[in-house]
This record gives sequence, C-alpha cells and structure tokens, in this order.
Amino acid sequence: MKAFRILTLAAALGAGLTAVAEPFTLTVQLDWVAEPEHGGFYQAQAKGFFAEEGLEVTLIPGGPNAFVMPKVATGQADIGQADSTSTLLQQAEGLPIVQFAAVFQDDPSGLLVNAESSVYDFADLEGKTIIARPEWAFLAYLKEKRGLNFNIVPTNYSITAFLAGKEAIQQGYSIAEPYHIAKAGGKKPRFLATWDADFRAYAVLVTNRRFARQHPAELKAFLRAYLKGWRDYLEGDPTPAHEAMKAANPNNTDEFMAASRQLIIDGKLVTGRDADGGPANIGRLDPARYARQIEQLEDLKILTPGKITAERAMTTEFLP
Amino acid sequence: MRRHALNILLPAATGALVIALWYAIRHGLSEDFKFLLPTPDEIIAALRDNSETLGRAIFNTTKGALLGFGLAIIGSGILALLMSLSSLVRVSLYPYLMILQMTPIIIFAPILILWVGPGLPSVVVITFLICFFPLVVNTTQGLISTDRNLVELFKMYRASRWQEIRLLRVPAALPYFFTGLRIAAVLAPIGALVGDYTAGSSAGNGGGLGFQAIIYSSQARYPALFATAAVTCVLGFVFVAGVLTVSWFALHKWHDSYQHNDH
Amino acid sequence: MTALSPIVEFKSVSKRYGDGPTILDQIELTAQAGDFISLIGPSGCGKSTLLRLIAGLNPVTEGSITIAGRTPAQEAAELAFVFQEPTLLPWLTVARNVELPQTLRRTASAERAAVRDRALDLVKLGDRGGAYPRQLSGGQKMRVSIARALTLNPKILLLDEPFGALDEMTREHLNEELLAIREQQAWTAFFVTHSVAEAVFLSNRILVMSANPGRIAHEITVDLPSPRTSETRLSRPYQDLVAEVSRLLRSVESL
Repeated sequence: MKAFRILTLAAALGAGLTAVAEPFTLTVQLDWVAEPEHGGFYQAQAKGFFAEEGLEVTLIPGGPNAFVMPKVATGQADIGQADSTSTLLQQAEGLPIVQFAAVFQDDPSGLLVNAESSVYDFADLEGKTIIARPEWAFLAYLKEKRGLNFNIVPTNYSITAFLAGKEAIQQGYSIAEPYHIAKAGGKKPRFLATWDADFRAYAVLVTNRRFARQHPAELKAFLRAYLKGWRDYLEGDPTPAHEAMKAANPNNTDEFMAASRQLIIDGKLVTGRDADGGPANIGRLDPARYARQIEQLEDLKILTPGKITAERAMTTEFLP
Repeated sequence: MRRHALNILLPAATGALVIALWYAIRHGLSEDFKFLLPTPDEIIAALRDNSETLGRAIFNTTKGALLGFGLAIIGSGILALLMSLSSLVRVSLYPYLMILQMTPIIIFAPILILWVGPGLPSVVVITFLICFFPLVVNTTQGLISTDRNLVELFKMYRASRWQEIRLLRVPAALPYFFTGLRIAAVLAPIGALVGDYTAGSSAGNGGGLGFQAIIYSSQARYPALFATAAVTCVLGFVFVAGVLTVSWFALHKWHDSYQHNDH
Repeated sequence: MTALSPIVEFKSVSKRYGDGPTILDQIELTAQAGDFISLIGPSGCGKSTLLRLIAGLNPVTEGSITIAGRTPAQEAAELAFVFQEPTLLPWLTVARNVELPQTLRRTASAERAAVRDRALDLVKLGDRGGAYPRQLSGGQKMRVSIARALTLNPKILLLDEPFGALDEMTREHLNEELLAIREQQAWTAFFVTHSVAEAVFLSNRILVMSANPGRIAHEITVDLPSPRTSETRLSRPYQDLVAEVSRLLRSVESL
C-alpha cells in the first residue's frame, strides 16, 4: 500500500514537472572572446539563474569580427553586447535595435599609451598615429571637439606594435590589455579614459525591436537573472563563471581573469563611478546621459540632427 | 541596323526591369529591415554627400593599384626573361613561384604591416604580390614556348642570342604576356582594396576604398557602403578596359585572337 | 670554283642521334654547282636529316661534309633553307618577314629594301608587302618564305617538302615559278619531296633513298630539256621518267 502511494506521488510529481513549460531559448552574441567583462552572463549561466527564470541561454563568443550589430539587427542573435555610442550611430542609420540594459556604467575603451611616450594628455595626440578601429566614434569626437589632427591605423588587436614602439598609442580595454602588456614584459601603460574627455559611453545590451515587442516577459526574466549574475560574480565566488570562461576560451588563465575582475571592481565599472553608483545601479541606463551624448554628437556634426532620440534609442522597461 | 538597335535596347530594358524590381523589393520590406537594401537614389545621394571622401579614397586606391601593378609588370618581365635564359634558374625557382601563386596573399598582410608599415607601402606590396605571379608564370611560358621552327630559322641565319630574344622570343611571347596582364588587371584593384582593408592607414589622407568600406560597414552606413562598392566596380572596369585596349593595339593586326576576314 | 670541283661533297657521312638507330649510313654524295637534286624515299630514310646536315643545323656523327671547300658551320652565309612550314613571323608584315635575314645581318635599310622588293617581285607578291601572314593563303605564305630565302643571294637552296601542304594546282604552279626564278638566280638546289612528278619536273638528278638505315639506293639523271613548262608534263620522256622513278621508289619501299 505504502509503495503504491509513493508511486502515485512520484508519478504526480513527474507529471507536474513535465507540465512546466519548455525553457525559452535565447542566443546572446558577445562582442569579444569570453572574458570577465561577460561575468554577468557566465555566472548566471553557471549557477543556474537563467534556468530558474525558465530560460536556456546560448552564449556565442565574439572576437575581432563579431558582427554583433548586423546579427542582432537581422535576428540571427536575440541579444548582443556593444558600446552605446556606436549603437546610437547605427540606430540613426535605421537599424532596428534598442538598448535595454547597461553592462558597464562607463565603457572602458580608451587609449593605451606607452609608458615611455611623450603623450600625457589628449592634447598631446596632435600629429600622432593611433592604432584603433577607424570607425570608433570617440576619435571623431576628439578631432571635432578638440580640433585635433592625428592618423589612424586600423588595429589588428595584437599588442605587438604597442610593445615595439615607444610612441605607440593604441585603442584598448582598461581591464584587459594592460594586464597582457605587463605579462609580456612591458611597462605598465598609461590609459587615457574617454570619460576624462567628457565622453560618457555605456557598454550595453541590445536587442532588435521585433524581439522586444514580442518577448517582453522573457527580456525581463533575462535581466533579472543577468543582474543577479553580476552581483554574485562581483561580490561572491567567481569560480563558476571563470571555469565556464576557460571552457569557452582556453587562452584564459586564472591569473588574468582574477586580475581583470579586480580591475572591474576597482574601477566601479559595473556599479558606477558617479555619486549614485552602487549595487542597486547595476544595469541602469540614464536617459539624461543619452540625451547629452546625442546633443554632443549632433553639435559636432558626427550625428545628423533628428535622426535618433534618447527615447527611441534606449528603454528601461525591462529593468527590474 | 536592327541587330545593332537590339544590342542596346535589350540590356537597357533589362536594366530598367532590375531597377523596378529593386524598388519593389525595398517597398515590400518591413520598416525594421529597410536598412538591408538601400534604394538607388539613396546610394546616389550617398555618393554625392561623400564625394570628397570617396574621391580621395578612389585616388589612394588607384595610386596603390597602379604602383603595385606597374612594379609587378616590370619585376615579372625581368624575372621571366632571366628564367627563359637559364633553365637552371627556371627549374630552381618555378615550383616556389607556383606555390606562392596559390597562397592567399592576405595571410602576409600582418607581416607586411610590421616590415614596410601600413598604408601605401603595404598596399603596393600586396598588389604587387597578387599581380606578380600570374604575370611571371605566363610571360615565362611565352618566352620558352617559341615555335621550334622559328628558333631554327634564327639559328640558320646565325642570329645572336640577343637578336633571338629581342626579335623572336619577346614578340612571340606577347600574347602570353597579355593573357597574364588581363588576369593581373582584374586582380590589381582587388589587391589594392584588400591591402587597404587589412593594412590601410589614414595617415596623410591616405585611406583608400577598402579603408572607407570598413568605416561605413561598422557604422552601418549602408548606402555609403553600396556607393563604395559601385565605385570599386568602376575602378576594376577601368583597369581591365585599359589593359584590353593596350592588348588590342599590340595584337589585333596579327594575332588569331582578333578575328579578321580579308583573304 | 671550277666545273670539276663540287659545290657540296659528302664523304662517308653517317648520322645517329645519341644511341638511337642509324639515320644515315655512309652517305657518299657529290653535287656540282647548278645541280637541282631531288631526294625522294619512304619515311625514315633520312632525306630531311641530310638537308639539315648541309645546313649545319645538326652535326654529322661520322664522315665529313664540305661546301665549296669549307665545313657547313663556316659556310652559312650562302645557304638558305625553306622549311616545310612557311615559318613566317606572324607579327611582322610580309615585307618585314622577307627582310628578316638582312635585318639579322644589319644590312643598311636602303639596300635591304631594294633586295626585299626584288625578292617579292620574283615570287609575284610585290603588292602584298604590307599584309600580315594570317591574311595570306598557304601558297602565298610559301612564296613569301621562298622570297625570304632568296634575299641572301644563296649559292645553295635547301627545300624540305615546301609544297607538301598545298593542292595539286598550286603546287604545279609554284614548281614552274621556282624554275623561273632559277633562270634569274643560279643556285644549286637540294629538294626533298614525296611527289615523284614534282621531282622529275624540277630536277636534273633524283636520289632515291632507302630506309633503315638511310642510304642512297638509286640515282636517276633527268635530262629533260629546259625551260620546263606545263607542256613538259605532257611529253612522253617526262611520263616515262615518272614511271621509272615510281618503280624504283616502290622497290625501295618494300625493303
């Protein structure tokens, strides 16, 4: 009798479990190879936060040619990671993208300057050669705003040229290249941060408008899990995420990942460098900052007026 | 007369049909996806708005392509001559030339940037490499394939080695050379473009069409990107047309490839 | 040169290519100035090779050849070769093709032009100087080739089946032209052919050769009267000679 009761209970449980809806599948196109900048994703995935929200998330690592924007715009990926400024410019060209959460409150792209170089400030860039992505909006901003004139050489993302030349100036991520440069025996480079030139960009999550219209609940669920993942990654034990990152990118070493994570924490990149920074600020987007940047770009004629507005570019409706 | 008119009317009608189709497809796309297919008038507008940048880019790419092309012609001519004179040289070098011809030159781009610097030097070297091998292989083939009978004729008349080369081998090799030249003419703009794409530099207003393509593509400025593509097509066309014209001048009177009926 | 001293003399000439078979075996041959000697025989009998040895294009393996007392290598200046193919340079006009031997000798241009025009007139192509080879018929190209050979005023003319690729009518016509030219320029000729009729019409001596190894099997003297015309072809002596040579040729072929 008892056995029969246990069996029916088990059957009911089984039926109950299978009655739960199939998990919703999502693809995320990362902008680079798996690194601590993706800590929120990997921690959420490794610790099952996505699964708890009924989501099955596929993280597609990127690289030099990640093509995040075209993939998200055409629906080949549902969510992508990018920087807010280049996204703005592409949204102005009619790409059906919307920015819906912050990854970093300040995008850590900046200019790495060789420790022995004569360049200390933006004004010193006059006449120099910068190795960078030619379409990086910050460069156009510097040229127009500061009236600077410099040469741009397309980057191939290696630090060889940087190590080779005393006067080398290269676009880089404050939380990655400096470590690699030191590891390769170079002196710790100086870093010219974009925010010091009054250029405030976010690193953001983007999705295409159709997906946003059709799956608001899933996006909210996604963000809940993602933000939980970030907090857990930054405040707790990051090992689950790091193991997953190593699996995705065997070039990752524990030492690098620990160092990069620490730089993220020290730089308050996720929580915010401004007065309102803190754990509650993770993921938040400020429409005022968008409005300001749009105005800056329009004034400098980098953006054609009227083509994009803050309301159209970003949304906070999916944030908890 | 009728046939001549048809030769113009038919393609023109097809072209008009294609453009009509183009607009129709565009119209049919949902708002979100209109960016995938800029209309011809958007492309023309982009051409106009970016004419200064594109003009400079055309100039830079053409400069790189012409320099690389010209150097390849000269270099290949010299090497082909040397290889035709000495079978030792030919046998030693030929396999490597074949291997290099089959290697995608692009793989050398990062190395070149390190060795000769980005911008025009790299573009010229890449264009040179891409054009060099078809030219050298074809020209050498032409120089060693001279009709046996003609060679014996020259021997009979006790012609000197130099006379044989100048008056027999080189003219006989011209059709082969032009075959190689036609191939190289197609490759030169591609080489310059790819060189620019992988190793270009804006230093001194030096960016070419490839460089611009990167920028437009990354900024999702697709009308301008299409405009760049259109301009590149024209450049390629001009190169090939130029070579075909020179080829015509050199060969049309006597070579079978230009049919002539007046017995 | 006296009438007694031969213009070309073969003494025990043998020719082998490397370790290959003997192409020519102990050839003895004496040609006097003014001879028109036809060489006829089955494939492989070495008739073309014989011509090439005289021309100095290939060396003898054994024996010696003297041309007016000198070796072929030394005597090149007064030899001209007409190949089976017209071998014209396609990128040069007819005029420039005919000038070629003189161009290679760096003759002055005025003299070059005069000689060239004379040669073209001889082959009746004086008005086609500006044409390109591909605009000419097979027979015309052959005539240009002959004109070119004549510009060096050769003492010895070597012709290797020059009319082989042409039709019967053109061939007979060119035979007559060749003899007409010979009236004006007294060269000694060595003529390789497969046509018995042609050999009889043109020559004063016919050498029938056998193959494996190459030897001169028979020699026939042709003493038909000059000048030889289309009438000659209809004459009895001519036809008898053709029959005789054909018989000899067949006997050699069955060996």
